[in-house]
Parts: sequence; structure tokens; C-alpha cells
Amino acid sequence: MRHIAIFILTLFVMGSPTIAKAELVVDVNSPNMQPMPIAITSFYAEAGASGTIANDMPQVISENLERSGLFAPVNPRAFVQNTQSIAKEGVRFAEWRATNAQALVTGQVTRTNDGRTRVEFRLWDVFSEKQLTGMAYMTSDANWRRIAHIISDEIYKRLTGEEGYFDSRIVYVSESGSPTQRVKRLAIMDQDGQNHKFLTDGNNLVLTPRFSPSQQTIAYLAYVNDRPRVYIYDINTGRQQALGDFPGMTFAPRFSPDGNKVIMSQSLSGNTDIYEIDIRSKAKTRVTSAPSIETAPSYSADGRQIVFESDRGGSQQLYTMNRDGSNVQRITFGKGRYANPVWSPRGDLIAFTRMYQGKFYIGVIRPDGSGERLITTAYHVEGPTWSPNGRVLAYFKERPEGAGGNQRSAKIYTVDITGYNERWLQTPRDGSDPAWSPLNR
Amino acid sequence: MAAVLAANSGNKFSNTVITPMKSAVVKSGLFHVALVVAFTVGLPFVKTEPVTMSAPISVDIVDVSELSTTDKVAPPKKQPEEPKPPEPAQKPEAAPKMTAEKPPDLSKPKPPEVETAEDLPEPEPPPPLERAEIKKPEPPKPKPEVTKTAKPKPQEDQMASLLRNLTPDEAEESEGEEEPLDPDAQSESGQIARLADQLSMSEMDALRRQLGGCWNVMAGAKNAEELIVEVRVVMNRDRSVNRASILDTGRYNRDSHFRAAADAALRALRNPKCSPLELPPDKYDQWKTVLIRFDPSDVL
Repeated sequence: MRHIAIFILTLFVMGSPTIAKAELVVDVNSPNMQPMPIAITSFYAEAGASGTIANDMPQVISENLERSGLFAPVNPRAFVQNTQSIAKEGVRFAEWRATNAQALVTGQVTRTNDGRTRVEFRLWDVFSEKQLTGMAYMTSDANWRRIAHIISDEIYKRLTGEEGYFDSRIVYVSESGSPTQRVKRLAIMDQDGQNHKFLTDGNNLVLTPRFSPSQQTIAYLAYVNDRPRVYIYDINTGRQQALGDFPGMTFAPRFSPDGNKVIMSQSLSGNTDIYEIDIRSKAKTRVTSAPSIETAPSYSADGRQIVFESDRGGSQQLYTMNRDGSNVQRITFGKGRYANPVWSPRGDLIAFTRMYQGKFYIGVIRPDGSGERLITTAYHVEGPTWSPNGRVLAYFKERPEGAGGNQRSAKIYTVDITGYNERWLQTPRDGSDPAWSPLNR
Repeated sequence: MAAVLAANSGNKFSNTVITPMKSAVVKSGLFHVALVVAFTVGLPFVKTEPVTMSAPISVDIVDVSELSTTDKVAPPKKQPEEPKPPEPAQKPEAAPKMTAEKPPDLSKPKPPEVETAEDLPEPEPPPPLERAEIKKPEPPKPKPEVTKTAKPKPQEDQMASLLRNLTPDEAEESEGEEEPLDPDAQSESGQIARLADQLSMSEMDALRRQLGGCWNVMAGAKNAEELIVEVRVVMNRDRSVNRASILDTGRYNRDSHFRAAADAALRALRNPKCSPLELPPDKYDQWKTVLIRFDPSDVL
């Protein structure tokens, strides 16, 4: 009885509004979407270490982060502490706060006894005065640019929560010559356009290179003796070979997420269908068998589904299906035509090209067909490819040039999936059909 | 005898009548006392309707600029129609003649190797500086001779739409494209109603606007609707933040996306632009501890 009385009394006390007051709850839902201010200082070069690396590496990191559209590097003129002072005395956070920087990157380059270079960096939260991450790398001087990309990825990951994409490359079709005598060569470069190299000599026409999501391998279409076939090129060994000797025309190849299979189209007797090929055994599995045109297949990130384009409904639209060809679902219903679907490596979106009233668009849509957004448009824009983290798209734009518009200029661009922050990725010659690699490591 | 009888009978009568009368008087008295007590003290077991009083309406004299400021996101701007270009060129059909069946010679680019990488612990804090010395700023670094990327294109008005969507035409919009973003007005009004008895609308709005301005969020995150960060903040009387702690520490330690979002929320609270917070100094009791929910789902 006494316990019951105490219990009832407790209930009264807890429920009494005059004794316990509700906590103030504030919902903040209108953030500032401006890029995050970040200060990236020159690295401190110990005696014997390369001063060039100590200066150039932070410059590459700064350019990487700025180009992502998510960060705004603070102008070095506003810096309040030089590298030597940071190395010797530590960071004076109170002064850095005055620069508006929310994060600070510092670093050090040293020469080890065995002649190698040790690069370390630290990422600081200027407001909490705490180190967010810090890594050290041992390497040779020649690798400094790659180390800069790896450090950029570490910073990006710590501040966004997502993997970076800076330590990656882009293979594309380099174009030169007149429209009637166009020379197309495969070329490869870092994602920032540096370390450019040609892979093919231009004797054969090449199209639609595709990077394997898991290996340093490229699938592409080459016209050899006027016959288009899919070839596989291993970047590490330089070896290339035809994917198989199939009748008819094979095209539009893409790798499976594990890199062991290629899915592509084969056109035979006037009908185009989708086939999956095992790269090692060359075993071919037919995935679609409709009388309509099925092409441009792309695997989902988990490899269980395939998105493709088809005209089975009367117009060219996008469809998804299970990997075995079952459960076909149409996902686009807009006006015009949809083509070249590419499933994002993070799985949440499918990028595509759309043609409507003579204009081209690059768009994204969720795999269930909802949330279609068109994020860029041009006279001719095509061939979207995802960065390894699924946050940036690269594609090419072509426009008429010269007197009468007889000439064509093709350039590669990148854009954040928000649709803002479109950047031209400069190439030595015209560039088309970009394909992003996975992260190099 | 008759008198006796009468007296007896009278007595008898009076005995039989007077006893119930006494009892009735006692009962009546008790009943009246009970009534008086009931009216004075109130009947504890009789349910009474609560007195309904309309909530006080606070009227704030606000600046016109305050009324015209809104944190709602405008629907995306419709892109101006460009003149229709000529039919774009198709991919080349004819292939140049090939001289050999064998594949062309290829170079062998290979990503450079990184030999080792190690985690760096946080260094020992340097000895405290006696005097904060501001050094001369470094000269700006020389620009590289060749820039490999184009100059940043002037950004369109980001507040017009945080996720860009070009619409081919009006008809298309209704056919299946995503509705333009519009922060949920319903949740806003619900939230205001909940807080009306604590801070006035304008006080809440000023606080939310101030914190929003200090809170940098990176657009394009996957599953942004799951990145709501709740922070319990203990305030100083001077309206500066004394202590801010993330409620879901378990998720902070295991989920890198949440960790980044939570750090961004903490940075907002530590941002010099948000100190002091715009809170009414005379209502310290109401805001000495605050639960702040940073919710980016409306805009990502």
C-alpha cells in the first residue's frame, strides 16, 4: 500500500508541468550550402627534402578540393601563420578562426636515410582545435602527385563521410582531324587531366571505352577491317585481345561489378539483344530475346540488376531487369528518347542521355523510375560516366564550329550530381566518350 | 386514567413520532454540512470540465525585412529555352580502312605505387604561447603555367534549387518529373506551435536562421534524410555554448557519413558567427539547455 502511494505521488510529481519543464527543441533545417572554407598551407620541408614537392603538393590538393565544388580553399594571402611557425610552434587556432577557415591542412616532407620521401599531413578542425585525421606516406619523389591525390581523398572522406575520387583516372577518345577524316585514339589521364598518355595509335577507329569497376582493364569497341568488335585492354600489362569471335556486330560493352564478365549487345540478323560474356571462358549467355532493339546495358552496383535501353514500347526508353532477364520494368516515361543508362557505383541513381526536340540532356533518375532530373544540356551532350564514389559525372559536349558550322569541337566536362559546378576537363585535343576508372588502389 | 392514558398514549405517540423526526433532522443537518463542504472544498470525485483559456498571443513588432526574409527554397528556375540547334551529328558510321587485323601498339601506363602509409596520432599540444604573434602573411603562391581545368563557371543562384533540374517544357514537368523542392511548411508550423509557449516566433526564427547560416552542408549526400543530427547544448548565461554533445555517439563511431554530418553540426555551434547565439537574455531558464536537431533532409 505504501509503495502504491509512493508510485502515485511520483507520477504526480513527474507529470506536474510546474515542476518539470519541457526541454527547448530547435529544428534547424535551412543550412548554408556554400562550399566549406578550408585552408591548405604549404608543407614544411625538412632539410634535404624537396621544396618543390612541399609547395606543389598542397597546390594539387587545393585544386582537387576546389574542383569538387564542396570546398572553398582560403586565399593564401589571408593565412595567419607560415609553415615553419606551424611546424615549430603548432597551429594557432584562434588566429586561423579569423580567416573563416573551418578546416586546416598542414604537412611536412622529410627525406629518410634510405633516400625515400616521407610525406605527412594533418587535417584540423579549426573550431574544436582537434585533429580530424593524419597520415604519413613513404614513397619516391616521382610519386608526389599521386600522394597528393591520396591525401585529397583522405580529407574528402573525413569531411564528407564518402570515399573520395581524386586518385582515379579517366580514359577517353581523343579526336583530331576534319569531320570526314577524324582520327580517334584511346587516351588516359589522371582525373585532373594530368599525366596524359595515348593508348592507341589512331589507325583503328575506337569508340565507347569502359573501365572495369574492379580492375585496371578497359573494354572498348574497335573497327578492325571495317568490322566492329569489343576488345579488352589490360592497362597493367598492355595486353589487348578481342573479347571473343562472335558473329554479327558486338558493341556497347560494360563490365560487371566484379570485373569478371562483360555485358554487351550483339546485332544478328536484324535483331539486337543483350548478352553476358565470361571474360575468361568466353561463355556467352543470352539475357534478352525480344524482337525489338535491346542495347546499352549497365549493371547495378550490386550486380543483381541491369538497366538498358529498348524500343519495345514504341519509343526508346529505359528499362531495368534482373540479371537473368526476368522482371523487366520500364523506368522512364518522358517525351523524347532515352539512351546510354549508367548505374551509379553507389547504387542510388542511374545517369542517362535524353534527346528531346533536337536537344540533348544528361539526367539522373532513381532505379525505381522516380526523381528524374536533367542536369545539363547542350547541342550535343552524351556519354555520362560516374566517378568512383558516384558523386560526379563526366560526359562530353560537342558543338559546331567554324564557318557554316562544318567543324565540330568535342570537350569533356564534369559536374556534381546536384547539377551545379560544371567544369571543363582540358585535354590536348578534342575529347569524347570519357570513362572513369575505379580508385587506383 | 383517561389523562394518564392520553398522556401515555400521547407519550406513546410522541415517542413513536419524535424519534424519526430527530433522525431526519440529523440527516438533514449532515446533508447540509456535506453540501456546504462540497461546495467549499470541491468534489474530488466529480469530474469537472477544465477551464479552457485561449493561449496568449504574443505580438511582436517586427521589421519589414524580417517578414520578407524566408528560409523556404524557391522552386528551381526554369531554364530559358535556347534556340533549336540543327540536328546533331550522329556517331561516325564509316570506319577508316584498317591495315592489319592485329591490335595497335599500346603504351603501358601504370599508376605509381605508394610504398607505405601509416596513421598519424594527434601530436602533443605545443606549449601555450605567451603572446599571439601574427606573422607577416606569405606571398601568394605562383599559379601553375598550365591550368588543366577551366575557370569555375559562375554558379547559378544556388538557392533557386539545390538540385538542378532542367525542364524541357512545362507539360513535361507534370508528366513525371520530380516536384521542385519545398521545405515542409507543415513541420515548420508544428514546430512553432510546440515552442510557442517557450520562445516567440521571431525569437525562434532568428535562432534558426543564425544557426543555419553557420551550418555548412555538402549537397549530394546519399540518404540525406537519415543524416539528422541531434545535439544537446548546455548554454552559458552570456549566450555562448558551454557544452555540445552528440546524442547518438554509437552511430558517430561507426558511420562515417553520420560522423561527418555530426562534426558539421558541432562546427556550426562553434562557429564564431554563432557566438553569442541570438537568444532572449531574459529567458535564460528556458534555453539553458537546448536540444538542436540539424536536419538537412529538406535540401539534399
